[in-house]
Amino acid sequence: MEGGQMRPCYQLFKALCLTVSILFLVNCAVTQKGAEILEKTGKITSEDKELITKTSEAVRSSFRDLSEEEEYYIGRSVAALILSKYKVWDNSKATNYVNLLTQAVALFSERPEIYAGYHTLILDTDEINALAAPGGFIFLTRGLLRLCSDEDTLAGIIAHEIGHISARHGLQAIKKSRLIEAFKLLASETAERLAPERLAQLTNLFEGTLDDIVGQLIERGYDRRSEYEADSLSLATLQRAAYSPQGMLHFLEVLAQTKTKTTSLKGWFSTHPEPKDRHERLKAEVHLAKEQVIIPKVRSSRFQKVASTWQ
Amino acid sequence: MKKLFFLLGLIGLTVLSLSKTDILIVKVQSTALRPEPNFFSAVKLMLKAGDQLEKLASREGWFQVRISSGTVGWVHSSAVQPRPSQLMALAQGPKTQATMSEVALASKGFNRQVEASYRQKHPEIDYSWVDRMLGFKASLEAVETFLREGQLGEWKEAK
Repeated sequence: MEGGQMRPCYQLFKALCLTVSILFLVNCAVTQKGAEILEKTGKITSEDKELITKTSEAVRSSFRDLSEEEEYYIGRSVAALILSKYKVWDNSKATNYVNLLTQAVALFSERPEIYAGYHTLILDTDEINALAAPGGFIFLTRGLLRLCSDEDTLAGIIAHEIGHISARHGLQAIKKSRLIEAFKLLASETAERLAPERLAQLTNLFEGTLDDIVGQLIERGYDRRSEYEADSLSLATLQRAAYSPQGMLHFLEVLAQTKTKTTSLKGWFSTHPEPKDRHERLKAEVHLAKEQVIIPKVRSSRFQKVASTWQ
Repeated sequence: MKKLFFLLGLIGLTVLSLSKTDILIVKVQSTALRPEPNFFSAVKLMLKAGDQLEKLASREGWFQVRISSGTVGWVHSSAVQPRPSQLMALAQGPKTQATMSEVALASKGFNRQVEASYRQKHPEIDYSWVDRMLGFKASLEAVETFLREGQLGEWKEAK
């Protein structure tokens, strides 16, 4: 351009302006507008304007860029949709116990603190299933609870669901194109509260986000990689908490036997890998762990007391 | 020329001061500041989402921090996220820039306003059990008793 003709001081000053502009504009919601103004006043070239715009658009682009608070609000609505499909079993003794266990197990997980904490509800169905919505909402069915022989097994199942939440597996179901559209919409808004038409657009995207997540949870299930990762996370959590991992192995054996007896593919069997496969993988990891845990009587007896309520 | 060098110096000092201090931001609704890096250590005070903390040290998943009043304590790493300086973020690339924007945009996005709009569109979806389950919270004392009696965690050897 005309660079060769300019004094070095002026070139340096121009570079400084560009740098400072990028610094402030790259995280400002009026990035494009600011870049346009700078271009119009001759402070930057059109090539510079393109660079600023492209840099700012690279800011949020995947599920990893969703904030803790957004994860919570997504999770609230996913939880509400789950609860539209199942009835709640409102037994305070059982509910208090599973929540105490959930909070205890969470302390030993990869993500002990989450936006509003971890909370568990029992669903009144014979279906065997456990569901975890983003943001810490966990659901266990009575059918599943009946298959647990002890507290350590139930702790393993809860640790597995916490594993899904801590690794954000639910959020990975959201279609990338949908997220990018939402992020772009938000980046172009300067106001704290959205104008009605923008809000309507974002609400549609929110709706689609929920469909993506609930579709995976209820219909398709997580992919194998996510399930195996949740199993590994569960094992690590159990070990830190000093729970026996043997309970999970026993649970998977019982599941495998139950599958051969039932023709229903609802719930667990339609959304999880073969119990046999998980058993083999987990067995290898448990073997590596080497530690044998003897379950104290107090854990057995407190579990049996509450288990009698959900039989 | 003197003016330019002065400006450069000022920017240099800003860069230095920004890059030296590690600031953390509380990203959960509330978390405890504790005297020790342990969930069962007594609570000094409660922190809330958005509170900024100066990171002093780290140990096994915990951060020692100083809050604006000068009080020092420990918070768990899962309750906070870093707030890198704008300049450092730019140097480190888009991922760190994304973290910064995550903080900046946290109050905008899939938030209370969007939920309210969604619920207006779908009045048939009931949130009462969602709100109720958020109230199922055992006290830390109850959790500690549960673990101690169950011979779990740090009490695993207890008789």
